[in-house]
Amino acid sequence: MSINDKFTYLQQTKEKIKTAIQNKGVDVSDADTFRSYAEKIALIEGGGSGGSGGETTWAYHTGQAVAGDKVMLTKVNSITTSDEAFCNGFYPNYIFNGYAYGNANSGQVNATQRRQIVNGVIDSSYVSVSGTSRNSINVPHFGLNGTCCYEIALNSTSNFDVSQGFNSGRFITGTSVIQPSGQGRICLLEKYVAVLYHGSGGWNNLFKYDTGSQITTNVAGRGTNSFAFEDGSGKYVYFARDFKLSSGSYSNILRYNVETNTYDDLGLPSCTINTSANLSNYNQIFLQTKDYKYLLNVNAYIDLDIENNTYTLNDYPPVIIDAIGDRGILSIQVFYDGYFGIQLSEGTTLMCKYTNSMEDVEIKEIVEPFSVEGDSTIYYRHFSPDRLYWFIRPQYGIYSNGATLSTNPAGPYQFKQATSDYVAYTPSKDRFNSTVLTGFLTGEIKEEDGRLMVQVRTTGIDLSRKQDKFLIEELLNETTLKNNTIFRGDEMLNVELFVPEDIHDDFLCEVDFTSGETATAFTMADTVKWTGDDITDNAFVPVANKRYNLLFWYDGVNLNGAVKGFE
Amino acid sequence: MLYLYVNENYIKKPTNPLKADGVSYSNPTDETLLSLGYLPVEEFEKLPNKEGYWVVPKYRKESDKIVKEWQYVEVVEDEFAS
Repeated sequence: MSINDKFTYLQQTKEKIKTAIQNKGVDVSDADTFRSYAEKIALIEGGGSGGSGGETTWAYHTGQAVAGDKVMLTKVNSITTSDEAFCNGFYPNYIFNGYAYGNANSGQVNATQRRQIVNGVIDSSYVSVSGTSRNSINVPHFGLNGTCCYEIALNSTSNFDVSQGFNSGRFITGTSVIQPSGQGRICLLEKYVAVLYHGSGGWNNLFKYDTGSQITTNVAGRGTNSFAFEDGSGKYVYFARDFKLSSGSYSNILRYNVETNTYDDLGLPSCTINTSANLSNYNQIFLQTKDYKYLLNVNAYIDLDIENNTYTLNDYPPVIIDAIGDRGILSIQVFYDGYFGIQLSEGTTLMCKYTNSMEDVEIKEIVEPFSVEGDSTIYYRHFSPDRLYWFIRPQYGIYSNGATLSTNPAGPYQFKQATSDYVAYTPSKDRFNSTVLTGFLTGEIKEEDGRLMVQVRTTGIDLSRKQDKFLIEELLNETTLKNNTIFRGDEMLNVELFVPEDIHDDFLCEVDFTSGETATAFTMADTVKWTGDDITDNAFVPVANKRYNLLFWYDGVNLNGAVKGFE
Repeated sequence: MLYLYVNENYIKKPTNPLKADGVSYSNPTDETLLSLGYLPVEEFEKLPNKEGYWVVPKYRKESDKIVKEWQYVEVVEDEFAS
């Protein structure tokens, strides 16, 4: 080591000692000689012990710490309720977020919590220094703290991969402690963590945390906002302002650019939002699609196309399958005019599917099945009488393989058909053993207009079958047979019956009509195996002035037809 | 009555039930029969009998009808007759 090198090293040592003395509450200026540092150290030992009776001294660190730094509060004395101390340290391996404030009675310094980042993974474990009060993410002193980090980690045991996960998108709902009594909407972007937080005025502020520079930037309040999501580009956060459908106060859609820290107001959607009585104060829009292009489903049955900035009203309530990211929270939201509730039972196998492209609305095949191990893996929350909201963790995707689904008991969870098109159904009182909804998620889920949904109408048919109750429909001159259906007609001159393409072993259908003065012209595929009255050459040939009951059933091989004629 | 043209010597009356192309038609209406190719028959006056000839029908299919004409066919002595 040369003399110059040694001198440089000595200067660095002096700087470190100076910083250490300063951190002990003793002023050290650049003009002070190295030798005078000894006197200043003596001051620490002589006047600072315990801090009793002394003035408040803070160690204040605003981030940008380097490896090896420590951030701590050195002395806390005589703190008043208006005093606050902040401690934000961002380390290669740690994120500290301490928010200490004084208490006139106890002088207590409250919690400093720690999140450890090891190789890009935030460990949800933490060290609570003392107390728990008011540890929060609080603009502009932003960090990842207790419950917030818990939410980001998705659950108490999983890790969040910072190095890879930011660009995959997360939409996190539920209670956090972004504010002590509020909620947070957190969007993890390519480079930023954007948080829409709930303050005293509602969802009124947005701020971002730059994971590179570790700088938090606040954005002025934009009204009451009810949701936020990022679009997958790592650049934008969308949210609605003043989104109160039930009150008729419609929402503008805002797009927040995290790079420029500016808003674009996309304006009010062009169509009228349904403000029927079905809406409640919980009208929220949730990110729906994996490719982040569309917002779907509020409980007014509205789809919001954020590209075209238009709403589409749905004719019937959809079941929304919500798949967010490759490790996100899956939510199933069931929307009805009335009440509906199902619960997946233990042993139900869920298949992972997700939408891949909204252009061609491709539904991927099963990616990975997993089983529900007990009801405890399914969380449902009852936001409003007409909506149930499940969280199913830990995977994305959905679909039951037909394992038992159970209705919830009567009360707010009972099923109530949505429109007159649906068949009335009285739910089973047996919460855990009913299989009436077996067909509900077993193939009736489909895409339509870019959404995954289950049509309630289909469910109604399934339900009727399970009840051994036939649907009665009018017999037309041209009629396609349907399972569990009675087609009933009066005097018919012509009847042409078609066999459905998709026919199952349990197929059962009845056709009734009268052959009048002129015998009914009857047409049907000659594959039917006939028995009964007025059968000629394995064909049913109606004669004049007879009432006929035709029963069709599938025996696994043939479609059979039995005829009973009455004079 | 509607008939199906088979060849110049034969037309076919519909059966009941009538089966065609995998479908069974019972009490088929004229509309159905027309859709299946059955046509009305226009019949000319039968030719008078003539010594040494048979008077036999001959059918001709047109777009909307079958024309039934008559023709003389010479009687050939049966060489095997006793």
